[in-house]
Amino acid sequence: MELFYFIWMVIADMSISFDAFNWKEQIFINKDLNFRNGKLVTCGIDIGSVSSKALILVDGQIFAYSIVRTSYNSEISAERAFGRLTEETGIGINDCRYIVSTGYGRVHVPFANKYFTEISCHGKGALYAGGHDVRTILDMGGQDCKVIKIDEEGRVQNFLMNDKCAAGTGKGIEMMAELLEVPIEEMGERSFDIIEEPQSISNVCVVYARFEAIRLLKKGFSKNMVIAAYLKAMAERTATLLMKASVEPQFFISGGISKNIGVVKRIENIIGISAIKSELDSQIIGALGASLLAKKIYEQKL
Amino acid sequence: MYYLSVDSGARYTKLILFRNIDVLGRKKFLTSYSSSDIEKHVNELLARHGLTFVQINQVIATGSYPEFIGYPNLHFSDSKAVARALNQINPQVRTIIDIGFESSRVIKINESGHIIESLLNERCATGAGSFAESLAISLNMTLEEFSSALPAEDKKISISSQCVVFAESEAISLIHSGVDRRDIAAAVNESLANKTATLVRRAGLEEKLAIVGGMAYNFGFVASVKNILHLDDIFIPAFPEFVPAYGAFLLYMDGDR
Repeated sequence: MELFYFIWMVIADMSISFDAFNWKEQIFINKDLNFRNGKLVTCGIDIGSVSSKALILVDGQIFAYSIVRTSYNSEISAERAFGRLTEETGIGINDCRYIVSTGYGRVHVPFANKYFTEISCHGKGALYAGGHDVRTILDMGGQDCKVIKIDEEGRVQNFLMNDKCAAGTGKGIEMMAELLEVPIEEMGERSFDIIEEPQSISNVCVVYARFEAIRLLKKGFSKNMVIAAYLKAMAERTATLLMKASVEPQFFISGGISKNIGVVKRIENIIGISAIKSELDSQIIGALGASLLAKKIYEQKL
Repeated sequence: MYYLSVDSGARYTKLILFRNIDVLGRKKFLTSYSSSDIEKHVNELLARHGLTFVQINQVIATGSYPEFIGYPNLHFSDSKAVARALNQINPQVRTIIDIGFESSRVIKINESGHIIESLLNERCATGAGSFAESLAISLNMTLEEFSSALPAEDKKISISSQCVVFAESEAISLIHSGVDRRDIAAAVNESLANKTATLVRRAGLEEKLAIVGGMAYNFGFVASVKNILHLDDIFIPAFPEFVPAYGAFLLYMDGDR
Protein backbone atom coordinates (compact mmCIF):
# COMPACT_ATOMS: atom_id res chain seq x y z
CA MET A 1 0.00 0.00 0.00
CA GLU A 2 2.89 2.31 0.82
CA LEU A 3 4.13 2.05 -2.73
CA PHE A 4 0.73 2.84 -4.22
CA TYR A 5 0.38 5.81 -1.95
CA PHE A 6 3.78 6.95 -3.10
CA ILE A 7 2.81 6.62 -6.77
CA TRP A 8 -0.35 8.50 -6.08
CA MET A 9 1.55 11.33 -4.43
CA VAL A 10 3.90 11.51 -7.39
CA ILE A 11 0.94 11.92 -9.70
CA ALA A 12 -0.69 14.38 -7.35
CA ASP A 13 2.37 16.60 -7.25
CA MET A 14 3.55 15.80 -10.75
CA SER A 15 7.04 16.12 -9.35
CA ILE A 16 8.12 13.24 -11.52
CA SER A 17 11.81 12.55 -11.16
CA PHE A 18 11.94 9.45 -13.32
CA ASP A 19 12.86 10.18 -16.89
CA ALA A 20 11.31 7.88 -19.46
CA PHE A 21 12.91 9.88 -22.24
CA ASN A 22 16.20 8.41 -21.14
CA TRP A 23 16.53 5.88 -23.98
CA LYS A 24 19.97 5.29 -25.43
CA GLU A 25 21.05 7.25 -28.48
CA GLN A 26 22.56 5.03 -31.13
CA ILE A 27 25.18 5.08 -33.82
CA PHE A 28 26.06 2.46 -36.42
CA ILE A 29 29.06 2.41 -38.76
CA ASN A 30 29.59 -0.18 -41.49
CA LYS A 31 33.33 -0.79 -41.20
CA ASP A 32 33.45 -2.59 -44.58
CA LEU A 33 32.61 0.60 -46.41
CA ASN A 34 34.47 3.88 -46.80
CA PHE A 35 32.60 6.92 -48.00
CA ARG A 36 35.79 8.31 -49.57
CA ASN A 37 35.92 5.44 -52.06
CA GLY A 38 32.21 5.66 -52.92
CA LYS A 39 30.99 7.02 -56.26
CA LEU A 40 27.76 8.43 -54.94
CA VAL A 41 27.25 9.44 -51.30
CA THR A 42 23.74 10.56 -50.33
CA CYS A 43 22.15 11.38 -47.01
CA GLY A 44 18.70 11.11 -45.45
CA ILE A 45 17.70 13.15 -42.39
CA ASP A 46 14.51 12.24 -40.54
CA ILE A 47 13.47 14.72 -37.84
CA GLY A 48 10.75 12.99 -35.84
CA SER A 49 8.88 14.38 -32.87
CA VAL A 50 10.94 12.29 -30.43
CA SER A 51 14.04 11.07 -32.27
CA SER A 52 16.13 12.49 -35.13
CA LYS A 53 17.92 10.19 -37.53
CA ALA A 54 20.73 10.78 -40.05
CA LEU A 55 21.70 8.04 -42.49
CA ILE A 56 24.50 7.93 -45.09
CA LEU A 57 24.13 5.79 -48.17
CA VAL A 58 27.25 4.96 -50.17
CA ASP A 59 26.40 3.61 -53.64
CA GLY A 60 23.07 2.30 -52.38
CA GLN A 61 24.48 0.63 -49.26
CA ILE A 62 24.07 1.80 -45.68
CA PHE A 63 27.37 3.25 -44.50
CA ALA A 64 26.37 4.84 -41.22
CA TYR A 65 23.44 6.12 -39.21
CA SER A 66 22.72 7.87 -35.94
CA ILE A 67 19.60 8.08 -33.77
CA VAL A 68 19.55 11.02 -31.34
CA ARG A 69 16.91 12.75 -29.28
CA THR A 70 15.00 15.56 -30.97
CA SER A 71 15.46 18.82 -29.09
CA TYR A 72 12.92 21.63 -29.18
CA ASN A 73 14.58 22.95 -32.32
CA SER A 74 14.59 20.93 -35.57
CA GLU A 75 17.64 22.71 -36.91
CA ILE A 76 19.78 21.84 -33.89
CA SER A 77 18.44 18.27 -33.93
CA ALA A 78 19.45 17.82 -37.59
CA GLU A 79 22.90 19.21 -36.91
CA ARG A 80 23.35 16.96 -33.90
CA ALA A 81 22.28 13.82 -35.78
CA PHE A 82 24.68 14.56 -38.64
CA GLY A 83 27.38 15.79 -36.24
CA ARG A 84 27.48 12.39 -34.50
CA LEU A 85 28.40 10.82 -37.86
CA THR A 86 31.08 13.45 -38.48
CA GLU A 87 32.61 12.68 -35.08
CA GLU A 88 32.74 8.95 -35.78
CA THR A 89 33.68 8.85 -39.46
CA GLY A 90 34.91 12.30 -40.42
CA ILE A 91 32.20 12.72 -43.06
CA GLY A 92 31.15 16.29 -43.75
CA ILE A 93 28.05 17.78 -45.34
CA ASN A 94 30.04 18.59 -48.46
CA ASP A 95 30.87 14.91 -48.93
CA CYS A 96 27.19 14.20 -49.59
CA ARG A 97 26.08 14.81 -53.14
CA TYR A 98 22.45 15.12 -52.26
CA ILE A 99 20.57 15.39 -48.96
CA VAL A 100 16.85 14.76 -48.47
CA SER A 101 15.06 15.58 -45.24
CA THR A 102 11.80 14.12 -43.96
CA GLY A 103 9.74 13.82 -40.77
CA TYR A 104 7.77 16.48 -38.96
CA GLY A 105 10.75 18.86 -38.79
CA ARG A 106 11.76 18.33 -42.44
CA VAL A 107 11.36 21.94 -43.58
CA HIS A 108 13.77 23.17 -40.92
CA VAL A 109 16.84 21.19 -42.00
CA PRO A 110 19.14 23.94 -43.29
CA PHE A 111 21.55 21.73 -45.23
CA ALA A 112 18.95 19.57 -47.06
CA ASN A 113 18.60 19.94 -50.84
CA LYS A 114 14.98 18.87 -50.84
CA TYR A 115 12.36 17.53 -48.46
CA PHE A 116 9.68 14.87 -48.79
CA THR A 117 6.87 13.74 -46.50
CA GLU A 118 7.63 10.78 -44.27
CA ILE A 119 4.86 8.89 -46.05
CA SER A 120 6.81 8.66 -49.32
CA CYS A 121 10.09 8.04 -47.50
CA HIS A 122 8.71 5.17 -45.41
CA GLY A 123 7.41 3.58 -48.62
CA LYS A 124 10.87 3.57 -50.21
CA GLY A 125 12.64 2.58 -47.01
CA ALA A 126 10.30 -0.32 -46.25
CA LEU A 127 10.79 -1.81 -49.75
CA TYR A 128 14.55 -1.74 -49.21
CA ALA A 129 14.39 -3.17 -45.68
CA GLY A 130 11.52 -5.63 -45.98
CA GLY A 131 11.87 -6.75 -49.59
CA HIS A 132 9.93 -5.97 -52.73
CA ASP A 133 6.76 -7.73 -51.62
CA VAL A 134 5.93 -5.19 -48.90
CA ARG A 135 2.52 -3.63 -49.60
CA THR A 136 1.34 -2.32 -46.22
CA ILE A 137 3.50 -0.32 -43.82
CA LEU A 138 2.59 0.52 -40.27
CA ASP A 139 4.65 3.49 -39.08
CA MET A 140 4.36 3.98 -35.35
CA GLY A 141 6.08 7.17 -34.31
CA GLY A 142 6.37 9.42 -31.31
CA GLN A 143 3.30 11.54 -32.02
CA ASP A 144 1.37 9.79 -34.74
CA CYS A 145 0.55 6.45 -36.24
CA LYS A 146 0.15 5.80 -39.97
CA VAL A 147 -0.86 2.94 -42.21
CA ILE A 148 0.65 3.37 -45.68
CA LYS A 149 -0.23 1.20 -48.67
CA ILE A 150 2.29 1.11 -51.50
CA ASP A 151 2.68 -0.50 -54.92
CA GLU A 152 5.67 -2.52 -56.14
CA GLU A 153 7.60 0.70 -56.88
CA GLY A 154 7.06 2.05 -53.39
CA ARG A 155 4.57 4.65 -54.63
CA VAL A 156 1.92 5.56 -52.06
CA GLN A 157 -1.52 4.21 -52.98
CA ASN A 158 -3.40 5.14 -49.85
CA PHE A 159 -2.78 6.06 -46.25
CA LEU A 160 -4.62 6.42 -42.95
CA MET A 161 -3.31 8.39 -40.05
CA ASN A 162 -4.00 9.24 -36.43
CA ASP A 163 -2.21 12.45 -35.49
CA LYS A 164 -4.97 14.03 -33.44
CA CYS A 165 -4.48 12.13 -30.24
CA ALA A 166 -1.64 10.56 -28.28
CA ALA A 167 -3.40 7.22 -27.72
CA GLY A 168 -1.54 4.63 -29.77
CA THR A 169 1.64 6.69 -30.18
CA GLY A 170 5.08 6.73 -28.57
CA LYS A 171 4.05 9.65 -26.34
CA GLY A 172 1.44 7.39 -24.76
CA ILE A 173 4.02 4.72 -23.92
CA GLU A 174 6.38 7.36 -22.52
CA MET A 175 3.64 8.62 -20.26
CA MET A 176 2.96 5.11 -18.96
CA ALA A 177 6.69 4.39 -18.52
CA GLU A 178 6.99 7.57 -16.47
CA LEU A 179 3.98 6.71 -14.33
CA LEU A 180 5.27 3.21 -13.60
CA GLU A 181 8.94 4.22 -13.46
CA VAL A 182 9.93 1.51 -15.89
CA PRO A 183 12.60 2.21 -18.56
CA ILE A 184 10.81 2.53 -21.87
CA GLU A 185 13.03 -0.13 -23.53
CA GLU A 186 11.86 -2.72 -20.96
CA MET A 187 8.13 -2.16 -21.46
CA GLY A 188 7.74 -4.78 -24.21
CA GLU A 189 9.51 -7.64 -22.45
CA ARG A 190 7.90 -6.91 -19.11
CA SER A 191 4.42 -6.99 -20.62
CA PHE A 192 4.85 -10.76 -21.18
CA ASP A 193 6.18 -11.44 -17.67
CA ILE A 194 2.66 -11.95 -16.29
CA ILE A 195 0.47 -14.82 -15.15
CA GLU A 196 -2.40 -14.13 -17.51
CA GLU A 197 -3.21 -11.53 -20.13
CA PRO A 198 -5.34 -8.80 -18.48
CA GLN A 199 -8.24 -6.93 -20.04
CA SER A 200 -7.12 -3.89 -21.97
CA ILE A 201 -7.56 -0.42 -20.49
CA SER A 202 -8.93 2.66 -22.23
CA ASN A 203 -7.61 2.88 -25.77
CA VAL A 204 -9.23 6.21 -26.57
CA CYS A 205 -7.39 8.66 -24.35
CA VAL A 206 -4.00 8.68 -22.64
CA VAL A 207 -5.34 10.76 -19.76
CA TYR A 208 -8.09 8.21 -19.10
CA ALA A 209 -5.56 5.39 -19.41
CA ARG A 210 -3.31 7.05 -16.85
CA PHE A 211 -6.05 7.20 -14.23
CA GLU A 212 -7.28 3.74 -15.09
CA ALA A 213 -3.73 2.48 -14.53
CA ILE A 214 -3.65 4.13 -11.10
CA ARG A 215 -6.94 2.44 -10.22
CA LEU A 216 -5.55 -0.93 -11.32
CA LEU A 217 -2.44 -0.46 -9.16
CA LYS A 218 -4.72 0.36 -6.22
CA LYS A 219 -6.60 -2.87 -6.89
CA GLY A 220 -3.33 -4.74 -6.53
CA PHE A 221 -2.31 -5.23 -10.17
CA SER A 222 1.44 -5.63 -10.68
CA LYS A 223 3.30 -3.06 -12.80
CA ASN A 224 3.80 -5.68 -15.50
CA MET A 225 0.06 -6.40 -15.60
CA VAL A 226 -0.66 -2.69 -16.02
CA ILE A 227 1.92 -2.47 -18.83
CA ALA A 228 0.28 -5.49 -20.51
CA ALA A 229 -3.17 -3.90 -20.18
CA TYR A 230 -1.91 -0.67 -21.73
CA LEU A 231 0.06 -2.23 -24.58
CA LYS A 232 -2.92 -4.45 -25.36
CA ALA A 233 -5.10 -1.35 -25.64
CA MET A 234 -2.54 0.23 -27.98
CA ALA A 235 -2.41 -2.90 -30.12
CA GLU A 236 -6.22 -3.02 -30.37
CA ARG A 237 -6.36 0.58 -31.47
CA THR A 238 -3.61 0.11 -34.05
CA ALA A 239 -5.16 -3.13 -35.34
CA THR A 240 -8.42 -1.26 -35.95
CA LEU A 241 -6.55 1.27 -38.09
CA LEU A 242 -4.80 -1.57 -39.97
CA MET A 243 -8.04 -3.39 -40.67
CA LYS A 244 -9.69 -0.19 -41.82
CA ALA A 245 -6.90 0.08 -44.40
CA SER A 246 -7.41 -3.65 -45.25
CA VAL A 247 -3.92 -4.76 -44.28
CA GLU A 248 -2.20 -7.18 -46.68
CA PRO A 249 -0.09 -10.19 -45.59
CA GLN A 250 3.09 -8.50 -46.84
CA PHE A 251 3.18 -6.13 -43.96
CA PHE A 252 6.06 -4.17 -42.44
CA ILE A 253 6.34 -2.16 -39.21
CA SER A 254 8.58 0.89 -38.90
CA GLY A 255 9.05 3.69 -36.39
CA GLY A 256 10.22 3.69 -32.79
CA ILE A 257 7.34 1.61 -31.38
CA SER A 258 8.20 -1.24 -33.75
CA LYS A 259 11.00 -1.98 -31.27
CA ASN A 260 8.40 -2.67 -28.58
CA ILE A 261 7.75 -6.41 -28.85
CA GLY A 262 4.79 -6.12 -26.49
CA VAL A 263 2.89 -4.00 -28.99
CA VAL A 264 4.08 -5.78 -32.16
CA LYS A 265 3.23 -9.33 -30.98
CA ARG A 266 -0.17 -8.25 -29.78
CA ILE A 267 -0.95 -6.55 -33.08
CA GLU A 268 0.15 -9.69 -34.96
CA ASN A 269 -2.14 -11.80 -32.76
CA ILE A 270 -5.18 -9.61 -33.34
CA ILE A 271 -4.87 -9.29 -37.12
CA GLY A 272 -3.54 -12.84 -37.57
CA ILE A 273 -0.66 -11.70 -39.80
CA SER A 274 3.02 -11.73 -38.89
CA ALA A 275 5.03 -8.68 -39.80
CA ILE A 276 8.02 -9.09 -42.14
CA LYS A 277 11.21 -9.25 -40.13
CA SER A 278 14.21 -7.20 -41.19
CA GLU A 279 17.80 -7.14 -40.00
CA LEU A 280 17.78 -3.37 -40.17
CA ASP A 281 16.82 -1.12 -37.29
CA SER A 282 13.16 -0.29 -37.95
CA GLN A 283 13.55 3.19 -36.48
CA ILE A 284 15.72 4.39 -39.40
CA ILE A 285 13.31 3.42 -42.22
CA GLY A 286 12.28 7.04 -42.85
CA ALA A 287 15.88 8.29 -43.03
CA LEU A 288 16.77 5.31 -45.22
CA GLY A 289 13.93 6.11 -47.62
CA ALA A 290 15.05 9.76 -47.70
CA SER A 291 18.62 8.75 -48.60
CA LEU A 292 17.30 6.42 -51.32
CA LEU A 293 15.19 9.26 -52.75
CA ALA A 294 18.28 11.49 -52.64
CA LYS A 295 20.19 8.87 -54.65
CA LYS A 296 17.39 8.57 -57.21
CA ILE A 297 17.06 12.33 -57.66
CA TYR A 298 20.81 12.80 -58.06
CA GLU A 299 21.03 10.01 -60.64
CA GLN A 300 18.14 11.45 -62.64
CA LYS A 301 19.83 14.83 -62.67
CA LEU A 302 22.99 13.42 -64.31
CA MET B 1 -31.42 14.59 11.38
CA TYR B 2 -27.95 14.52 9.86
CA TYR B 3 -27.14 13.74 6.27
CA LEU B 4 -23.90 13.27 4.40
CA SER B 5 -23.67 13.82 0.66
CA VAL B 6 -20.63 12.39 -1.15
CA ASP B 7 -19.66 13.32 -4.71
CA SER B 8 -16.89 11.04 -5.86
CA GLY B 9 -15.22 12.58 -8.89
CA ALA B 10 -12.26 11.54 -10.98
CA ARG B 11 -9.97 14.08 -9.29
CA TYR B 12 -11.63 15.29 -6.09
CA THR B 13 -14.17 13.86 -3.72
CA LYS B 14 -16.53 16.42 -2.23
CA LEU B 15 -18.42 16.01 1.03
CA ILE B 16 -21.30 18.11 2.40
CA LEU B 17 -22.66 17.56 5.89
CA PHE B 18 -26.28 18.63 6.48
CA ARG B 19 -28.32 19.15 9.62
CA ASN B 20 -31.93 18.93 8.50
CA ILE B 21 -31.86 21.12 5.40
CA ASP B 22 -28.92 23.32 6.38
CA VAL B 23 -25.32 22.91 5.30
CA LEU B 24 -23.12 22.31 8.35
CA GLY B 25 -19.78 21.84 6.63
CA ARG B 26 -17.95 20.98 3.42
CA LYS B 27 -14.76 19.10 2.63
CA LYS B 28 -12.89 18.47 -0.58
CA PHE B 29 -9.95 16.07 -1.02
CA LEU B 30 -8.08 14.20 -3.75
CA THR B 31 -10.00 11.09 -4.74
CA SER B 32 -7.88 8.19 -3.58
CA TYR B 33 -9.90 5.34 -5.06
CA SER B 34 -10.05 3.61 -1.71
CA SER B 35 -12.94 3.55 0.74
CA SER B 36 -10.69 3.63 3.83
CA ASP B 37 -9.33 6.99 2.77
CA ILE B 38 -12.83 8.42 2.32
CA GLU B 39 -13.65 7.18 5.82
CA LYS B 40 -10.70 9.14 7.23
CA HIS B 41 -11.91 12.40 5.62
CA VAL B 42 -15.53 11.79 6.60
CA ASN B 43 -14.53 11.26 10.23
CA GLU B 44 -12.47 14.45 10.17
CA LEU B 45 -15.42 16.45 8.85
CA LEU B 46 -17.78 14.91 11.42
CA ALA B 47 -15.35 15.51 14.29
CA ARG B 48 -15.14 19.18 13.35
CA HIS B 49 -18.86 19.40 14.16
CA GLY B 50 -18.72 17.12 17.20
CA LEU B 51 -20.44 14.23 15.42
CA THR B 52 -19.70 10.56 14.84
CA PHE B 53 -20.74 8.44 11.91
CA VAL B 54 -23.53 6.59 13.79
CA GLN B 55 -25.41 9.90 14.03
CA ILE B 56 -25.68 10.17 10.26
CA ASN B 57 -29.18 9.20 9.19
CA GLN B 58 -28.43 8.76 5.50
CA VAL B 59 -25.47 8.82 3.12
CA ILE B 60 -26.33 10.23 -0.28
CA ALA B 61 -23.99 9.76 -3.21
CA THR B 62 -23.32 11.00 -6.74
CA GLY B 63 -20.35 11.18 -9.10
CA SER B 64 -18.53 8.80 -11.41
CA TYR B 65 -16.86 6.49 -8.90
CA PRO B 66 -19.55 5.28 -6.45
CA GLU B 67 -17.64 1.99 -5.99
CA PHE B 68 -15.02 3.78 -3.87
CA ILE B 69 -17.48 5.33 -1.41
CA GLY B 70 -17.75 2.24 0.79
CA TYR B 71 -20.75 3.29 2.87
CA PRO B 72 -24.22 2.00 2.02
CA ASN B 73 -25.71 4.92 0.13
CA LEU B 74 -28.44 6.19 -2.15
CA HIS B 75 -26.90 7.12 -5.48
CA PHE B 76 -28.22 9.85 -7.80
CA SER B 77 -27.12 10.67 -11.34
CA ASP B 78 -24.80 13.67 -11.40
CA SER B 79 -26.55 15.52 -14.24
CA LYS B 80 -29.89 15.27 -12.44
CA ALA B 81 -28.21 16.50 -9.26
CA VAL B 82 -26.59 19.46 -11.03
CA ALA B 83 -29.89 20.42 -12.68
CA ARG B 84 -31.82 20.19 -9.40
CA ALA B 85 -29.25 22.24 -7.46
CA LEU B 86 -29.00 25.04 -10.01
CA ASN B 87 -32.77 25.33 -10.19
CA GLN B 88 -32.80 25.80 -6.43
CA ILE B 89 -29.88 28.25 -6.28
CA ASN B 90 -30.85 30.39 -9.28
CA PRO B 91 -34.18 29.56 -10.98
CA GLN B 92 -33.30 31.71 -14.00
CA VAL B 93 -30.57 29.32 -15.14
CA ARG B 94 -31.39 27.41 -18.35
CA THR B 95 -27.99 26.21 -19.58
CA ILE B 96 -25.30 24.67 -17.37
CA ILE B 97 -21.68 23.95 -18.19
CA ASP B 98 -20.38 21.23 -15.89
CA ILE B 99 -16.70 20.48 -16.34
CA GLY B 100 -15.19 17.58 -14.48
CA PHE B 101 -11.66 16.28 -14.47
CA GLU B 102 -12.16 13.77 -17.26
CA SER B 103 -15.30 14.88 -19.04
CA SER B 104 -17.27 17.98 -19.89
CA ARG B 105 -20.99 18.31 -20.15
CA VAL B 106 -23.64 20.86 -21.11
CA ILE B 107 -27.08 20.49 -19.54
CA LYS B 108 -30.20 22.39 -20.56
CA ILE B 109 -33.01 22.66 -18.05
CA ASN B 110 -36.50 24.12 -18.02
CA GLU B 111 -38.02 26.45 -15.42
CA SER B 112 -38.83 23.54 -13.10
CA GLY B 113 -35.29 22.18 -13.20
CA HIS B 114 -35.98 19.20 -15.45
CA ILE B 115 -33.32 18.21 -17.97
CA ILE B 116 -34.31 18.97 -21.57
CA GLU B 117 -30.99 18.05 -23.08
CA SER B 118 -27.63 16.83 -21.87
CA LEU B 119 -24.53 16.67 -24.09
CA LEU B 120 -21.51 14.87 -22.73
CA ASN B 121 -17.99 14.67 -24.03
CA GLU B 122 -16.45 11.61 -22.44
CA ARG B 123 -14.60 10.34 -25.48
CA CYS B 124 -11.37 11.90 -24.28
CA ALA B 125 -9.98 14.48 -21.88
CA THR B 126 -10.04 17.35 -24.38
CA GLY B 127 -11.89 20.29 -22.89
CA ALA B 128 -11.93 18.77 -19.40
CA GLY B 129 -10.29 19.87 -16.15
CA SER B 130 -7.31 17.58 -16.61
CA PHE B 131 -6.43 19.55 -19.74
CA ALA B 132 -6.06 22.73 -17.68
CA GLU B 133 -4.23 20.99 -14.86
CA SER B 134 -1.73 19.20 -17.13
CA LEU B 135 -0.97 22.40 -19.00
CA ALA B 136 -0.52 24.39 -15.78
CA ILE B 137 2.03 21.78 -14.70
CA SER B 138 3.82 21.94 -18.08
CA LEU B 139 3.97 25.71 -17.77
CA ASN B 140 5.24 25.40 -14.21
CA MET B 141 2.43 27.60 -12.91
CA THR B 142 0.18 27.19 -9.89
CA LEU B 143 -3.51 26.75 -10.70
CA GLU B 144 -4.07 30.27 -9.33
CA GLU B 145 -1.50 31.82 -11.67
CA PHE B 146 -2.83 29.76 -14.54
CA SER B 147 -6.46 30.74 -13.86
CA SER B 148 -5.69 34.42 -13.75
CA ALA B 149 -4.40 34.37 -17.35
CA LEU B 150 -7.10 36.42 -19.03
CA PRO B 151 -7.60 36.46 -22.82
CA ALA B 152 -5.34 39.07 -24.43
CA GLU B 153 -6.74 41.95 -26.49
CA ASP B 154 -4.15 41.42 -29.20
CA LYS B 155 -4.17 37.68 -29.54
CA LYS B 156 -0.68 36.52 -30.44
CA ILE B 157 -0.73 32.77 -30.13
CA SER B 158 -3.16 29.87 -30.01
CA ILE B 159 -2.99 26.24 -28.97
CA SER B 160 -4.26 24.01 -31.78
CA SER B 161 -3.87 20.49 -30.36
CA GLN B 162 -7.04 18.73 -29.28
CA CYS B 163 -5.05 16.15 -27.34
CA VAL B 164 -3.83 17.02 -23.82
CA VAL B 165 -0.53 15.23 -24.40
CA PHE B 166 0.16 17.04 -27.67
CA ALA B 167 -0.95 20.38 -26.25
CA GLU B 168 1.71 19.92 -23.56
CA SER B 169 4.40 19.54 -26.24
CA GLU B 170 2.97 22.54 -28.07
CA ALA B 171 3.14 24.64 -24.89
CA ILE B 172 6.71 23.55 -24.22
CA SER B 173 7.89 24.51 -27.71
CA LEU B 174 6.16 27.89 -27.27
CA ILE B 175 8.13 28.42 -24.04
CA HIS B 176 11.34 27.55 -25.88
CA SER B 177 10.56 30.05 -28.61
CA GLY B 178 10.34 32.75 -25.96
CA VAL B 179 6.60 33.26 -25.53
CA ASP B 180 5.50 34.52 -22.10
CA ARG B 181 3.98 31.74 -20.01
CA ARG B 182 0.97 33.90 -19.16
CA ASP B 183 0.19 34.31 -22.86
CA ILE B 184 0.40 30.56 -23.33
CA ALA B 185 -1.89 30.00 -20.33
CA ALA B 186 -4.37 32.50 -21.80
CA ALA B 187 -4.26 30.61 -25.10
CA VAL B 188 -4.92 27.33 -23.31
CA ASN B 189 -7.89 28.84 -21.49
CA GLU B 190 -9.21 30.15 -24.77
CA SER B 191 -8.81 26.78 -26.45
CA LEU B 192 -10.73 25.16 -23.58
CA ALA B 193 -13.42 27.82 -23.86
CA ASN B 194 -13.71 27.18 -27.60
CA LYS B 195 -14.34 23.48 -27.03
CA THR B 196 -16.92 24.25 -24.37
CA ALA B 197 -18.61 26.87 -26.54
CA THR B 198 -18.96 24.33 -29.35
CA LEU B 199 -20.78 22.00 -26.99
CA VAL B 200 -22.99 24.86 -25.76
CA ARG B 201 -23.91 25.89 -29.33
CA ARG B 202 -24.77 22.29 -30.17
CA ALA B 203 -27.15 22.16 -27.23
CA GLY B 204 -28.45 25.65 -28.09
CA LEU B 205 -27.57 28.49 -25.77
CA GLU B 206 -30.37 29.80 -23.61
CA GLU B 207 -29.67 32.34 -20.90
CA LYS B 208 -28.94 32.37 -18.08
CA LEU B 209 -25.74 30.34 -18.43
CA ALA B 210 -24.11 28.83 -15.34
CA ILE B 211 -20.73 27.19 -14.88
CA VAL B 212 -20.21 24.60 -12.16
CA GLY B 213 -17.26 22.41 -11.20
CA GLY B 214 -13.73 23.45 -10.37
CA MET B 215 -13.23 25.17 -13.73
CA ALA B 216 -15.59 27.91 -12.54
CA TYR B 217 -12.61 29.17 -10.50
CA ASN B 218 -10.60 29.60 -13.69
CA PHE B 219 -11.18 33.31 -14.46
CA GLY B 220 -9.32 33.11 -17.75
CA PHE B 221 -11.58 30.32 -18.92
CA VAL B 222 -14.78 32.00 -17.72
CA ALA B 223 -13.81 35.29 -19.38
CA SER B 224 -13.05 33.49 -22.64
CA VAL B 225 -16.41 31.69 -22.60
CA LYS B 226 -18.09 35.06 -22.04
CA ASN B 227 -16.23 36.56 -25.02
CA ILE B 228 -16.82 33.68 -27.37
CA LEU B 229 -20.53 33.36 -26.63
CA HIS B 230 -21.01 37.19 -26.45
CA LEU B 231 -22.51 37.07 -22.97
CA ASP B 232 -22.71 39.93 -20.49
CA ASP B 233 -22.94 37.70 -17.50
CA ILE B 234 -22.37 34.12 -16.43
CA PHE B 235 -23.80 32.76 -13.20
CA ILE B 236 -21.31 31.06 -10.90
CA PRO B 237 -22.64 29.61 -7.65
CA ALA B 238 -20.81 30.24 -4.38
CA PHE B 239 -19.35 26.75 -4.13
CA PRO B 240 -19.22 25.63 -7.76
CA GLU B 241 -17.49 22.31 -7.12
CA PHE B 242 -20.00 21.28 -4.43
CA VAL B 243 -23.06 21.70 -6.66
CA PRO B 244 -23.55 17.97 -7.53
CA ALA B 245 -23.30 16.92 -3.85
CA TYR B 246 -25.82 19.62 -2.93
CA GLY B 247 -28.15 18.60 -5.75
CA ALA B 248 -28.04 14.93 -4.78
CA PHE B 249 -29.16 15.92 -1.28
CA LEU B 250 -32.05 17.99 -2.71
CA LEU B 251 -33.12 15.03 -4.88
CA TYR B 252 -33.08 12.81 -1.80
CA MET B 253 -35.22 15.31 0.11
CA ASP B 254 -37.65 15.44 -2.82
CA GLY B 255 -38.02 11.70 -2.47
CA ASP B 256 -36.84 11.38 -6.06
CA ARG B 257 -35.16 8.03 -6.68
